[in-house]
Amino acid sequence: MARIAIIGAAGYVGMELIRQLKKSRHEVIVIARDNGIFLLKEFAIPVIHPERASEIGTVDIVINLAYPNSGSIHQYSKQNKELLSLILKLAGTAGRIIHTSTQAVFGYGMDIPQHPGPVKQHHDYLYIQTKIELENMLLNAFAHRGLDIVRLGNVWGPASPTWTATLASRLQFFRPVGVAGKDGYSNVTDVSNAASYLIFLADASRSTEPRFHHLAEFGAVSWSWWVNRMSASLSVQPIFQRFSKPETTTIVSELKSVLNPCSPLILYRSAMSYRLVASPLRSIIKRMPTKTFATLKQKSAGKEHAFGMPITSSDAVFLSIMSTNILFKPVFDEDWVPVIGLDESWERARKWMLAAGYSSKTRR
Amino acid sequence: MGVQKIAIVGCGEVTRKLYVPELQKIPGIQISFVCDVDNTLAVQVAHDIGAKVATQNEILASADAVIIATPPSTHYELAKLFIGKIGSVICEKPFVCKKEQAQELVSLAGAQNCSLYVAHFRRCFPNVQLARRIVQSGIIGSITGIEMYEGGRFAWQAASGYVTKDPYGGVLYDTGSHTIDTALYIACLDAGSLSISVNGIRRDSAEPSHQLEAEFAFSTAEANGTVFLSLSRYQVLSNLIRIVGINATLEVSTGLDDRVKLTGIKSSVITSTEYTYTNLMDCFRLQYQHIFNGGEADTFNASRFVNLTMVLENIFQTQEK
Repeated sequence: MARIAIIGAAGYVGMELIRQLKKSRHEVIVIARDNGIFLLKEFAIPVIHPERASEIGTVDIVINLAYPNSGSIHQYSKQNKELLSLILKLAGTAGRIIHTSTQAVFGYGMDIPQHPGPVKQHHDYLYIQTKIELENMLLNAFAHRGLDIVRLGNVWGPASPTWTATLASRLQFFRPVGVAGKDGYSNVTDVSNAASYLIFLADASRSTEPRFHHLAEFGAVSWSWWVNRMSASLSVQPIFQRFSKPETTTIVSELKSVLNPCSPLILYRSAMSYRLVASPLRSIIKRMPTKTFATLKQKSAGKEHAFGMPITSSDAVFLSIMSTNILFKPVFDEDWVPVIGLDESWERARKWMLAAGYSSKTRR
Repeated sequence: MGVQKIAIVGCGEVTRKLYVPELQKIPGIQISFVCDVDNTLAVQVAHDIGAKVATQNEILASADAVIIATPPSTHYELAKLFIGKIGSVICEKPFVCKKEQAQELVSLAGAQNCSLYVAHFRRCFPNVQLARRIVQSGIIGSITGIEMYEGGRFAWQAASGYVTKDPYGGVLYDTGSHTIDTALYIACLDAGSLSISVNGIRRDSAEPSHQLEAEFAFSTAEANGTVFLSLSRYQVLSNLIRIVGINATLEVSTGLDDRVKLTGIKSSVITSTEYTYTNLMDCFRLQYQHIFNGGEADTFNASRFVNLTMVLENIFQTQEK
């Protein structure tokens, strides 16, 4: 029996972890802020505010699920340091750490080569940079002390806010749920299995060297497998975006897309609709040799905008994840057995969708 | 007209995170006075925006408008204090806790020639405006049912702690007032005669509850039907409002969006507005622009929140069955 402190237990994975840990013989203490305290009330376990963490003393295992995600983005690095300080305090000189991270450390599009080892910090979206930073801070602090870093795939399950709910809502309101012709790997881990694996690691023997785990037990299942079932359940047809995106994002390609609205073609088209500006422009075009005009027109014809509805940048990120052709390769202990299989995972999600109101209760 | 001097009563999270940054962007008004039972909070907010920490008497003497941003159970007394003595009184949602209080304040404001508003900024959401126009057009026919689902993991850190301590701080008044108001507004049931009869309630605890389901019947002079409500602070729900008519069903997200879904016998269509907002705060500001600078101020007239108050009160008082 171990004394386990959990940081970030009021989140989606955390609450499932508490549910499963309650059935174990471990002593569980939770560190959470004010809203976490009331969310966890049903579990009747000690919930301590981070500012009172010193009252806990040291523990055998610290499971960290937390990461900076609120307040000013300029404070995220500072929040990472505060988190590290809390973990150090709880772990003392002998405690082990199990830290949950994300497959996104290899990029939302998984364009960084995967390996079960440290990831070098690089320029990327803030969420990804923050996650990599925390991993590396923990590696520096706990290099020989028993550190397990579990990179989770896309966390699926009933009421999963990022995946199940988002997909269901997009299907409900006919928003694109993928890219036409690009059915991606879902790289999914069910929340019950994620929690189960964390407990498995807590029960396992300590390793003196850091261990990396990549958990997406349903990773090879395509998104269309989930989407088709959800659509049938909601009696809707999924919408797919016809959209192309550069495979690799560089500073130059991003600057080009930022400056695209200022392209000469768009400026010209805009100017031709004005009363006074358009008139001299038309005069210039009239004087242009026909052949030159035809050549210019043909050159601009290839630069039509991508076909499809306008999408936001967050939509673009979402769709790139949905269409990834890169599998998040599993790296986990072969002695662990998932607690639920694929069909059961879908069935739980389906039942939740029904209870959550995606289908009407009222008959006309 | 010169700059209107605004007083804010209540310097909690709503004031600090919403009112302070957003009201300063509205032309023609200035937050001149603040007050709070916790003077430290008032001093902090006053310092941040260059306002004066004022007493109630100073506010009564000098403010052109007052915003009441305190816990719901204090709204009635504060509104009564200010009505008739200050030109405009704006009450944060939810209005008040009892229908008779709402009716009393509306009558008092009318008699005193005072403008009394309730801040329910979701009424400014493009999808909500579009949905209401669709209902008004008669396309979906008479309404026979309403379903409302809104849930998400609670993350708001209320300074006063009222969300977990005050009976009126639970998910019903906190989130449900938004959800139910939006549904009533879309269905054009926010004003006029409305009666309800609660048939069933399930809660996770006595109020303040954090998870609630309610079923009730509604009737007006023109229509009657059934209503289902599901709210949660523990988990995400579908977060949509479904208005069922005899001809078609309308579905609207409870969040900021630009589209609504119409489902007929054979198929569904999505229709969207020509204008959109990317930020909730655009709608928050728009609401106050209407209230302070003219426009659609009637949308927020307190008389249009009496029905909502009645519905909330009925659900709140009904024991689990």
